[in-house]
Amino acid sequence: MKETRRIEFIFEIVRILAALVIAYGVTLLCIMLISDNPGEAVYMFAIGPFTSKRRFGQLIGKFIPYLLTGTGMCFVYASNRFNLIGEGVYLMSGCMVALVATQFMSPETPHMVFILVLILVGALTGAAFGSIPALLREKARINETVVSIMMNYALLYAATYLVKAQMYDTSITYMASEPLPAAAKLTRLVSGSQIHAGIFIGIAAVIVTALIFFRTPLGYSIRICGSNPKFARTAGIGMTSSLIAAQVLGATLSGIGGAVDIMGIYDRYMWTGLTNMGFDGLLVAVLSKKNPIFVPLGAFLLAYMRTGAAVLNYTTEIPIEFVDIMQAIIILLIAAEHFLGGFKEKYIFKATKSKNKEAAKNA
Amino acid sequence: MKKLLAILLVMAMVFALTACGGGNDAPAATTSAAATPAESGSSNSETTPEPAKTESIIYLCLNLGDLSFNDLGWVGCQGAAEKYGWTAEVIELGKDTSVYENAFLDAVDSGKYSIVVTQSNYGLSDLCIKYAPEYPDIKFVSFDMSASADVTGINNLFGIAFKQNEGSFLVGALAGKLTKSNKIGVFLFNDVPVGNDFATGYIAGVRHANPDAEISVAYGGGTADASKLQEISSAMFDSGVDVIYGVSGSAYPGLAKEATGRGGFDNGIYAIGVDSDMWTVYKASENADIADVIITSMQKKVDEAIIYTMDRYVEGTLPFGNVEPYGIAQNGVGMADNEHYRANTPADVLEYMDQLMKDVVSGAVEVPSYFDFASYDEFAAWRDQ
Repeated sequence: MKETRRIEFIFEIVRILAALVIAYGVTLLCIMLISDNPGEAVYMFAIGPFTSKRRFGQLIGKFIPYLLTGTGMCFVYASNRFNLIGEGVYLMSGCMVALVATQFMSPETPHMVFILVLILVGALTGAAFGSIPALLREKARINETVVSIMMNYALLYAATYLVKAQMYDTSITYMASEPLPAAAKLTRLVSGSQIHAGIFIGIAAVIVTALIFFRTPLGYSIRICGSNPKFARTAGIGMTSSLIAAQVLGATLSGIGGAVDIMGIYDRYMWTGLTNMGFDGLLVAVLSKKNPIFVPLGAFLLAYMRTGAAVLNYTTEIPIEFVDIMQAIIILLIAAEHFLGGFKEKYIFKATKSKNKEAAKNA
Repeated sequence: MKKLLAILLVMAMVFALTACGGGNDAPAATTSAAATPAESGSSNSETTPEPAKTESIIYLCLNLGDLSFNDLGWVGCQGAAEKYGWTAEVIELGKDTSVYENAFLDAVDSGKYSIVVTQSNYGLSDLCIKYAPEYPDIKFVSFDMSASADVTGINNLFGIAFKQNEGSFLVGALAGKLTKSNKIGVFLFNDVPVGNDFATGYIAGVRHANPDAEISVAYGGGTADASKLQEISSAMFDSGVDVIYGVSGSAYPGLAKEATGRGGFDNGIYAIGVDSDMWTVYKASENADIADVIITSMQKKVDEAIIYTMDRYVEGTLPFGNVEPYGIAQNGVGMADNEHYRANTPADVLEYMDQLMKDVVSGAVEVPSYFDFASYDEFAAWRDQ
């Protein structure tokens, strides 16, 4: 058994590395084909995110919400429910945070209190809207994927309505809220970059999630319900409550992510389209194999790629549509679960066979 | 379940792709339109008179390839560069609003550019206001700002506000005269202030020319979705509407296609274009077969506005630290006056329109603006009355 696990682990690493090499190979090839100056393009795509404080800050600015949506999606993904409400609550939380910050709170409120209240608002928004598809799924057996995807749009338009009706700034020509008060903004840790205090919230979320996952009965039952529902039922685990808890916790973390993103990076709330941050959270969860301990790695990888692509876009002549395609190729290959799966099974089979032989010999 | 996950992932990625690239036909890879007269002339610069200084423009936009708003800004920058022997480059920012600030700062920090031209959307005008004081050597021009924005004291920032309500008023009046069914439609790309300013002018124009006409207003979701516009146009035509003003450059083919499919002018069906002179632009593109249904267009002359602004800058008369409204009088907006419009509009309507244009310019006819309403609700009540 140990041998199997060792092989699986090694293959996991080899698989991700091979996928990265192939994906980057394909992208580099494409860059060479379409770019007049492939050297610069490749450099910007691969090294660009590390070439200046600001660009690295941009990477971290993406990394922070990914930590939160990624851990959130770990809950959902581990419970084997494909609930994508994280996308909708992400922007709804951002909207509620802006609403509370601009309309209901005095700008004189102490900074720490302001921030804590806003994070609480984000978390509650996430939990409230996240519980709808979860309850419908577990109590009424309505497919959570359908409900959550539909709800994402409902939340998007509801948020746009809130901006329009409650906090729209008449001095600008596009739809956005009034500027957030200074007290509502997370402190920038490094001036001139987007590295903000939200990173502590993100790290705290990873630690808390890991503790819940591996050190509490709730985490255990979520994992069991997800990986082997029949066993969970036979063992008498309260499936309904664990699964609802997993989905609501996931949405809560996504909600905090939206709140932190708005408070950390933006001057106003201005999302009038889905942000994709919730869907990216699912990618992070997939990259980190639904293990919250690996979420920082997955989040960093995705943030690095997104930033590299953005830097490539605004420093070279490569059109932005192509940049999106390249990202998709990389993600596709990394997320492909069965890539190199045949090799893995062969090796496990061989190892087990030789072990059995040895065992037979010793006997 | 793994399969389901795989499908979901693919969906997520496809979504990301369409969300980013939606509706853009042209690949938009042109980056540098260097105009070289200055360089070629520099060897004998002592004999030829030269502009005081060679400038380099950087144009920041969301996505090129819409044959309208974003493209027009780029045309304007290229035109100004060509006129004065400057260089112009473009950066497409894409859909992810979180990267705008960094892209903006990367551009101004690169030291390569002396003039930054941006539109105002998605916080780009905020960025100009925020960072212009930190970069006193760079000039910032932000177009499509709100006339009520306050930029006083920032003496390297100039804002252009378009009076889209004035141009829309004219096409609205035309629609009011052209309709046979007394039912008129307008589609707005999104329920946002600038969109509603188009609507305000248009509705006022229709009511001015034809008080009996009924107006249906439809909004899109902000994405450039030609099939959605086609669907909405189809529903409007079904309800008896015969003139539709489509305020969405990128989605416009949806309206033009639907109107063409219903027989166009022969059946009394008219479409009104937006931003560029769409009949002319479509005639010259792969959309030529659906061009003839566009009777005229409300032009938001971003290109000419930028060139005009640069002219004033070169003359030294550009009042930095202000947002100036460019209306019909300043040639910032207008109605496309092309042969197609002249050939297909009844003589009495042409006469009426020419007079109306003069009246709007002189101020004899006052055009309301969305920005005059105290709140959205007040506008909505006026719109739906």
